[in-house]
Amino acid sequence: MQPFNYLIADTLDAALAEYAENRPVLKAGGIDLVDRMKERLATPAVVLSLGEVEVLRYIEPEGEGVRLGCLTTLADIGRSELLNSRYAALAESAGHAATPQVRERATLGGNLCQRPRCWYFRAIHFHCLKKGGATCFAVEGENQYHAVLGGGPCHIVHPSNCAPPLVAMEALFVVRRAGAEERVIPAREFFVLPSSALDRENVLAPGEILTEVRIPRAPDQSATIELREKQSFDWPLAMASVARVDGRRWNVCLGAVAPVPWVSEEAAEVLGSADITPELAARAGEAAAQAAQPMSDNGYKTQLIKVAVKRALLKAAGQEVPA
Amino acid sequence: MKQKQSRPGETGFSRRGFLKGVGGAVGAAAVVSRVLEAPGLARADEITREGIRRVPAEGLEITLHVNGEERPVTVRPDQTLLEVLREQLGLTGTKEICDRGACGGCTVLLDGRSINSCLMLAVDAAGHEVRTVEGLVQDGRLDPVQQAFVDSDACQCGYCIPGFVVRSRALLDEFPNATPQQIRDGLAGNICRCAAYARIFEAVQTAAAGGNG
Amino acid sequence: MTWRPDNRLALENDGSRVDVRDKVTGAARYTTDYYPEGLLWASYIRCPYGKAFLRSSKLEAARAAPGVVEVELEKQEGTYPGDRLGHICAESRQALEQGLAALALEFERDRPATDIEREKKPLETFDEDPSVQEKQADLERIFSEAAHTLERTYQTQVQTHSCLEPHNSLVDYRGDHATARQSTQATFSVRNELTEVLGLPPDKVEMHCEHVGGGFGSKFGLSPEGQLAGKLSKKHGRPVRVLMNREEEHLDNGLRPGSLQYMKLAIGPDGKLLGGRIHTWGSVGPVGGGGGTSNPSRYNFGIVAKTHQDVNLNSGFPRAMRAPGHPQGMFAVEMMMDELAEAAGMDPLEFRRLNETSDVRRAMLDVGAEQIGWHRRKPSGTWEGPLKRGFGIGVADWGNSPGEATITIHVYPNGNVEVLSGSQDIGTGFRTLLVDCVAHQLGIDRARVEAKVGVSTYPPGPGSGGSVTSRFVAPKALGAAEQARQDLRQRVAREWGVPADEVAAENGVFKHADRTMSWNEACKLIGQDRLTVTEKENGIFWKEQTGSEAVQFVEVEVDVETGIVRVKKVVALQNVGQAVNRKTVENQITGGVIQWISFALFEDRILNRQTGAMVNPNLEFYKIAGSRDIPEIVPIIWQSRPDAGVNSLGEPPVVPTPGAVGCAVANAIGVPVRRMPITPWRVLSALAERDGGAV
Repeated sequence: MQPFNYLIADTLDAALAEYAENRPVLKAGGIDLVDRMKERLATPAVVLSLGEVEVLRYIEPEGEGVRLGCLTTLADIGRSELLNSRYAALAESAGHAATPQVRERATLGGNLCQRPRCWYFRAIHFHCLKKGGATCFAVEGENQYHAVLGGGPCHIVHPSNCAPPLVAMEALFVVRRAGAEERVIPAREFFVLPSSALDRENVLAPGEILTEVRIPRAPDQSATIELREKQSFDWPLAMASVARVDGRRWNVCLGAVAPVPWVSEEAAEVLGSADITPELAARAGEAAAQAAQPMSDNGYKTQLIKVAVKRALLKAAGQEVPA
Repeated sequence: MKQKQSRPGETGFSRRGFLKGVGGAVGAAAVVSRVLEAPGLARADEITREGIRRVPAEGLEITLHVNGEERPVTVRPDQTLLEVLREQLGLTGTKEICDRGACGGCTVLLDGRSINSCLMLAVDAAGHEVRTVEGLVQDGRLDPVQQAFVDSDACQCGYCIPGFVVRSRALLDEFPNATPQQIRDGLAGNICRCAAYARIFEAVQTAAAGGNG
Repeated sequence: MTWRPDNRLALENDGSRVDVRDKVTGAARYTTDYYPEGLLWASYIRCPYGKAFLRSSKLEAARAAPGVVEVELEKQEGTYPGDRLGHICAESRQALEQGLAALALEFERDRPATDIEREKKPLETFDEDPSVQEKQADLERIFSEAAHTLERTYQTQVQTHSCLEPHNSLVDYRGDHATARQSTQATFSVRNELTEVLGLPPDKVEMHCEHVGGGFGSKFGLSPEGQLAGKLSKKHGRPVRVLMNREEEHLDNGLRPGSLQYMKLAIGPDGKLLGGRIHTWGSVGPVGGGGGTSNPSRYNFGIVAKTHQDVNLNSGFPRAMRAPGHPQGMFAVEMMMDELAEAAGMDPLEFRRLNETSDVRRAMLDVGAEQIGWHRRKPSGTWEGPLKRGFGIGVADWGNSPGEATITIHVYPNGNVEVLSGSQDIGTGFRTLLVDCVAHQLGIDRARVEAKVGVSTYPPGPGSGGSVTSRFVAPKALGAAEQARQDLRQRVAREWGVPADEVAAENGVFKHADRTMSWNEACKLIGQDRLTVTEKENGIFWKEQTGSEAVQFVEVEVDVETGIVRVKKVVALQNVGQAVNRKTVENQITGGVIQWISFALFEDRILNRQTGAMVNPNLEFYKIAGSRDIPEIVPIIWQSRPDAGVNSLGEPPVVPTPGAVGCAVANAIGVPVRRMPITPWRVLSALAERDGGAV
């Protein structure tokens, strides 16, 4: 790591002020940042730690929903009885993300704001598009883990596995900035495609910190399916989160197949607010995969989308699906 | 338990005073100051703000609470807990293997929870209780998990084993009667290349069954 | 003979490995764990690309970086990712890293050769080979007489050793002598090569490797890490460490070469193999070879014309890896066996029995089939539902010849015993083998015996390669202990004034008529400081060896909607001749099985085709099986003959696994996946191809 000065915030206000004024690099659990600093992809002069702002670590029911502080760890989420019982899609995703050790330090905010795990982006010797270069190496190179939806000019997949369930559950992301009112952004509008921005994956403006995630209303039903090559620590090849909120129509959000958590309008269209049958679930899966545009080596992900969506819907409906 | 009095940046070390005390770090400071003088960026040592503590790039003396002892160490922000445990505190049982949180070889307990010390900055460990594999031995007596690993021959080359032992300790603290599935799920962040898994599962299961307190 | 659970233990020994306590407490110190005063850190400067020319570097800036001691660039051209262009040395690890960053290397890249299929010579080229030509008439006859002829090509990927203790060396040169520590599987080869680097005689260089964090074939010789540490320690007169990081570990510390294996084989109407044509290609480094595969092997193939080409790629160099050439060769062999059986309409088990070369394995096949429940196997692709079960078989064996080693034991007047060997314990349980052999032969509790290994001043012994350590060393350890036992027996006889041959010495107790003497009392009769015995001959303890035969049965479950493969159960039968320690033997069998399930399903060294850089030089995308990927494994220690000696174990159990997994997957889904690793991508592709589509 390049040496850096380290600032530790004890209060959110101090962090916001410091962040707005001096633009240090923000660190929560450090899982993603320390990794990038070790790879020398990040060589900040100053790092600001949010880690000690204990007031940002909470899971609080509110009204018919729940509020989660951005420093809540994935382990906290995975262990939460409330989330496991009423927000299963999120609890399962967070509770199985990465490794048990990583989950103890990884925060919800960090998980949502982490940089992509694309193997070109993560290595200093690939001067790729996302790092200011001219080439997305995935286009002509090894792309078995890259995007089949929404890609171009860069073909990363979004690494967060908390994001798809949150999008499906119509969560709101609360963003704070010194001297400004809080900004509340629907989860599905938080992430940006490479076609609109290459140097970031979300809408956060300079000085803004994601401080809270609100799920206004617990879903009637929800589930997540993640499909992995390896069942121990591994990134999903494809995932699908589904939720039905307030008796309204189903939301379907895909993970690991697009540069953002990918909302499948096509699947939602097929589903409407209907009760799930195996036949309907399969049709929704087909619809979700329809727009897929695979590259040379990731065509298999199209099939995985179909299965993940189908099984997530069946699981949400309380039916048994292959584990 | 948290030890608020030893949090980094609260001990009143001035940057210059620190530099005087620790000659070896002067060189690093020279590198950093160049970076810090980038346009538009305040020098870190000029920042004074209520609610912000500062650890200069050259480092600071902090106290780490490791295996029940207070250990004063001078650490730079860019040093990981793993590096400090091994190089400065001589606790080499904790291993560096992948150095990226993917293998579990560097697992230590932080306030009783298992974490990857390779991804944790040492300064962030101040104020927390750190326990390493060495610290599981109490008065020469092995932790029940360690004893179960011994009895089951749960290792081959052994390089990953401290990480497995520490992680297993945390796992059994959380699930004292862990099921075989919980054990497999709970060890999914550790890699044993020799693949002594059959023995490791047996050991953890034995510890779980036999009152591992 | 029939396998019975109660004949497994020749030495009836069920103790845990003798150094396990040190390993679970963190007390075991590996080379990485020493931080001597005045330590310098050094590393190589590397080219990350497959084929590139160093266009610019800031050599002076790097030299001026704080704490940097020296920086040298020796060449500009890199011919594989990780190629060593020079080195850097610094006062600390941090200074080393900063110095490397300051170097700011910039390269001009050329299109690298990364793909064996693109770079290989076509098959026809090799048909001109004299070895093929001379069998041409036979082959023509075979193919014309054949009931079935199949032509298939199989592919296996590059696997890296991924030792968890990285390759690292710590050399401390002090003018007239030197102490070295290196993570190695060959104490003496490191010491010997180091004498050349340091210009010191062997008696002035002491090499230590008391604990080694895995080797798997990649840690022989002084190696680049030891070369550099030695050179710089001599130059600076200080201890120097060279420690590979995980990326370097993948790039430049050895690998199992990839392979393409073409097979055209014929079978007669009775299902017997008649022979055919086999050609294999192995992917190797930019120069040199080492990509051979053991195909054909094990079965009775008839008349085969076999040729091979090593294909040079801009890739790291192969190094021996746990049964070099074998698991990949047997992947193709076993897959072909199943495809041929299918063509002949025969059960794969029957087909193997028919073409088996070994009676021992034939017996093991029967027991294994019973243990896995082979009767549950259904014709390929006929399981209902998306989760399909499949069964597969793999076989192996290993040659067992005697070799050199020297063992010294010391018996102290207090009754404690030391057994010494300079050979190393890389996780195999070598220490434990020594202790158990000596304790057994002396008839005393193993707690009384301590093994000291891995130091070059101890008696010479083999490197841990070719699965030789146990079989080379065990006869000498038993022989040395026997000599000590006889010596003590004579002392006791003298003490009692009776003829030595009338004194019984069993279970550590000496008896004559109604007199007995305990081990401790007898040891007090040792006149000098201690009783020392050295043995370098095999003597009566070398017993005729068996073939270390291995047979494995694998059961998998494949989700045909997702292509995800889960291995459910493995029955691993392993002939080890005489088993010395049940736990270490079983541990090594199950470990081998898991390591090669990992190879079959997950592991893949992936080079980027544009730049030749490795895209997954980590443990995140270089995927190694973990706790949730482990099936139930039933290790069965097979003893084919009661009088067998100690056999090989390190390598044979890993050989059958990938082939058995591949066959099981094919049986489950009804179509063979002829390319490893067998990932969802490959499974879904194979299914789509069968159904006339593509994925």
